Amino acid sequence: MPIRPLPPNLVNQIAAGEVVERPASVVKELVENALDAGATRIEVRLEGGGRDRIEVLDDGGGIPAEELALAVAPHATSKIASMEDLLQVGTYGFRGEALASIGSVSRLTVTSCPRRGSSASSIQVDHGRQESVRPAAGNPGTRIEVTNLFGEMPARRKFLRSEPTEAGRVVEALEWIALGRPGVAFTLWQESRKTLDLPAENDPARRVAAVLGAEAAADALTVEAEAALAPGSPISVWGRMARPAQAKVAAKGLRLTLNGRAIIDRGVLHAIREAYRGLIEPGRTPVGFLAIQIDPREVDVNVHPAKSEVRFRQPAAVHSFVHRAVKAALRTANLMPEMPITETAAPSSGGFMHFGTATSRATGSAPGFDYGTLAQALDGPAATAATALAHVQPAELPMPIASRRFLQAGRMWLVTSDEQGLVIVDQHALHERVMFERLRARTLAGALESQALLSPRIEPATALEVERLEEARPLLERLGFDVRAGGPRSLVVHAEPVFLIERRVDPVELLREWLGRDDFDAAGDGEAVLAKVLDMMACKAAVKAGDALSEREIAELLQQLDAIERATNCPHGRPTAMRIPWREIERRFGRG
Amino acid sequence: MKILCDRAVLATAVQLAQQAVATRAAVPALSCIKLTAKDGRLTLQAADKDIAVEVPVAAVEVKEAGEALVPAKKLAEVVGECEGATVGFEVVKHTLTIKAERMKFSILGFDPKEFPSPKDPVTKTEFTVPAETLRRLIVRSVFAAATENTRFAMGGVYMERKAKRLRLVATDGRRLVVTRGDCSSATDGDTVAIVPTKAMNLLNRLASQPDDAVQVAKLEGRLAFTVGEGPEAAKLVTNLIEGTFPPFEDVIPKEHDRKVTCDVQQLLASVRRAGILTTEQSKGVKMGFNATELKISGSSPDVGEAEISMPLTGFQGQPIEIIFNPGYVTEALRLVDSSEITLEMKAPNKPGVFRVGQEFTYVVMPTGQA
Ligand SMILES: Nc1ncnc2c1ncn2[C@@H]1O[C@H](COP(=O)(O)OP(=O)(O)O)[C@@H](O)[C@H]1O
Ligand SMILES: [Mg+2]
Repeated sequence: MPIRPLPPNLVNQIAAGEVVERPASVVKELVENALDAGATRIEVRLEGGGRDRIEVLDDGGGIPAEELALAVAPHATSKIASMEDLLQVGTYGFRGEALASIGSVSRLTVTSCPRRGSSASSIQVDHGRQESVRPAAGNPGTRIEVTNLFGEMPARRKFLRSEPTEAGRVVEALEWIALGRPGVAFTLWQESRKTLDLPAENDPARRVAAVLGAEAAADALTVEAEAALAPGSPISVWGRMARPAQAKVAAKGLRLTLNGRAIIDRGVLHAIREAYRGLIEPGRTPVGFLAIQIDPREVDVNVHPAKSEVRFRQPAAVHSFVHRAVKAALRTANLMPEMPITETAAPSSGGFMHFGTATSRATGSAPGFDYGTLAQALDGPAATAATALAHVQPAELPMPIASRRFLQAGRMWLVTSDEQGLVIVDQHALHERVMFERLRARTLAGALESQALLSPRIEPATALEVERLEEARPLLERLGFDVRAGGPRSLVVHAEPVFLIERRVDPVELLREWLGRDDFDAAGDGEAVLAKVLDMMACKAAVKAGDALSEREIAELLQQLDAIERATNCPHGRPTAMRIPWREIERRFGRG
Repeated sequence: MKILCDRAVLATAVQLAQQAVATRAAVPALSCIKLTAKDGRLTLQAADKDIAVEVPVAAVEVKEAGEALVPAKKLAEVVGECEGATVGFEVVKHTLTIKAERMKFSILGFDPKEFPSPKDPVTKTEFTVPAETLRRLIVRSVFAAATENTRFAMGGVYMERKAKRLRLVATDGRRLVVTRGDCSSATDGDTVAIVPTKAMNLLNRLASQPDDAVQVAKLEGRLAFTVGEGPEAAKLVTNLIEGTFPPFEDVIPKEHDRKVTCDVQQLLASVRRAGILTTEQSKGVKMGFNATELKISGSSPDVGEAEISMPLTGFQGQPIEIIFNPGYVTEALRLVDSSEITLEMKAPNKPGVFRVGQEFTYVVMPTGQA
């Protein structure tokens, strides 16, 4: 075949493959256009999950009749005019590609009325065949209708999933956009049912609650922080994050917007997960919403045609900013789950019986100690019920505790009993506490051990981190680090703390986290400053919730506990152990 | 496909192939083992995104040639459970039926065509090394390779062949090991590569017959190892780690002020004992050398302290005290197969070098206070 340029319609169809994948992507593009046009109310209607018909109605600025043909032409946009603009995109759209792409793969009708009093006109494009502009009837704003999606492309159409799946994706996309624009009202109709109704809100927290649902939104934490990535280059974040207990296995409960645009960014998601580390099981994702505002010069949104991916100029700085902001919100919150008890909430499930049986069997005989059954019983719904018991109190741990048999439940709790009741220990909090105390004792005896490196390790760093290094040097030496600045943007590591290497924690990661902290302080009261860093070290090195522990590891951990004073609170002040008194358990079983 | 094989031989081969399979495969085919029966032989193939192996199974009787592609983990479990002397395989429509004494399993498989067919360009063997030598070099180097791939520790083993001399080098940034051995034949010129640790470990297991010869060929960005001869040969092809290995020659000290030769077992036992009462927070053991004695002590404020002494003969130089992570020392001493080892030192803050002849050089940075 001789080389020929592709016919324009084919070019658009190919481009459409990138922008228009399914009804949800059509809706996203159309809703974003409406927002760009200044709409305050947007209505989306779906038929057949969007496979048969999509309609998006807005009350925005509209398109004048003489510009309609251009609007549906490829690479025509009213939003940017120059390369300079492209660097500072403030609108969702800028490629001028969406309407043309959609028009190339469906029957597209754009009806628009620019302002009150003027008349409406409309244009149709049928799989790339543009028809002429006609007068039409319509209110101020724009109405876009897409039917017969992929009608002339059977292969693409085959890729569409079932109606509920496609509709579900539309809901997801719409909710995501809506999170970033609480001031705009959104409604979604499926066939003739209203399935989403998000009124305009002044308080963004109310929009988040409406989208995340009551359970996750109840006592969610507010994340709010502001900083500068460079002089005159601010970054800020606002959001609502659900408590750790709400974390889900599915990742889609966590949503981000960047300058109002729904994005997926692995770096930022990682930063959030990191902040929750130790509080949720690995593999789970926290639920919540964060809106990041950043100087447009600090980000490139022109990476992906659907614009869901972005490229930060300083990804590491954005990462540590988000991480710190979320961490700070978690730190100020009291994360011990409350244990409210209402008399009527007496557990009625068989799980409780099972729990009782298992316990008595467990205490029955030494060789027959059935970890499996008991662990199972504790893993099941009974465990949740048990934590809801009243009068649960922080426990003075029984001494000597190491001689008791513990078992691990839910990969997170160590459970035993003493004369007074059932004792539940938080493994991460306990290990963290134990290590913190040992590290502190060790630093009193002299600097922590330091492993010299064969050759210096050169690591990139932010200007801020390098700047703080000098101030931090004396303390770092006590911790076993030998680090120097290697220019304005790098650190040179000559030696690292043995302790961190043994615990498989990357010393540089910890170092940068500390240097980048909002509340960084290396000069203040010596002991308090030291304690803060040791706390970070202990937290990173401690076993996590979700780490399965062998019997030997449990025994070792508890043995260490005996040697530690004040072991009943982790360094963050959260309790490490709780006791449910026997009399409370007896009362619940109707024996009291 | 219809075959009959020796159960024990099969079990070993399946286990081996399973090691190559990706732990979290993106495509189902990469979590599978492919079985090919033809010309009276059975071959197992497995791969992850970087490594592919081909393991021949001796002792089979092929009644009907054919192919199958089945999940590795399940296949290994099933074969591991089989009893009796022989196991029978039969494939009908991607389903593999396994028959053994009083057992029958049918594993649902995939279309064998989904298994990535190995690119098999014509290659020229660069060198051949006895399996025994290669294994020795691998075992004595991989332990020091970093498990994580950071920029300063490559997460792989550096392999260098110059004429008939072969060196493997590994480091995690805190210690470095260089092992040497001889090839049995080689082309002119050099071979240089950074081989992923996983491939090295697999190769160690593939090369279990000491008398086999291992042929090494370089392909574009990959190394191919052929263990044994002819159709019964096992094969491993691995992608190489790109990048430059840290300039390790520079960190091997060129000179020393102190030198001593010790009995390996005695030194190993002493360091191990001194390390018993150390903790994660107080890890190091202090080794004090003088003309007649080595005193090794380890302690931690909250557990206690140990002091072990062993006699020395022929210590050269001024007395010295140097602290090492005891794990780093014992790990290497366990792998050394000679009875004596030499330790060279310069100063408490300079690396110590353990040597066994020309064949084993282990550089360890001391610990201490920054
Ligand atoms: N709902 C709408 N209201 C007003 N103008 C619109 C609307 N949708 C599209 N337009 C106009 O059509 C142009 C092309 O839209 P589109 O193809 O999505 O490209 P882009 O959004 O990248 O500019 C826009 O620049 C805008 O001027
Ligand atoms: Mg647009």
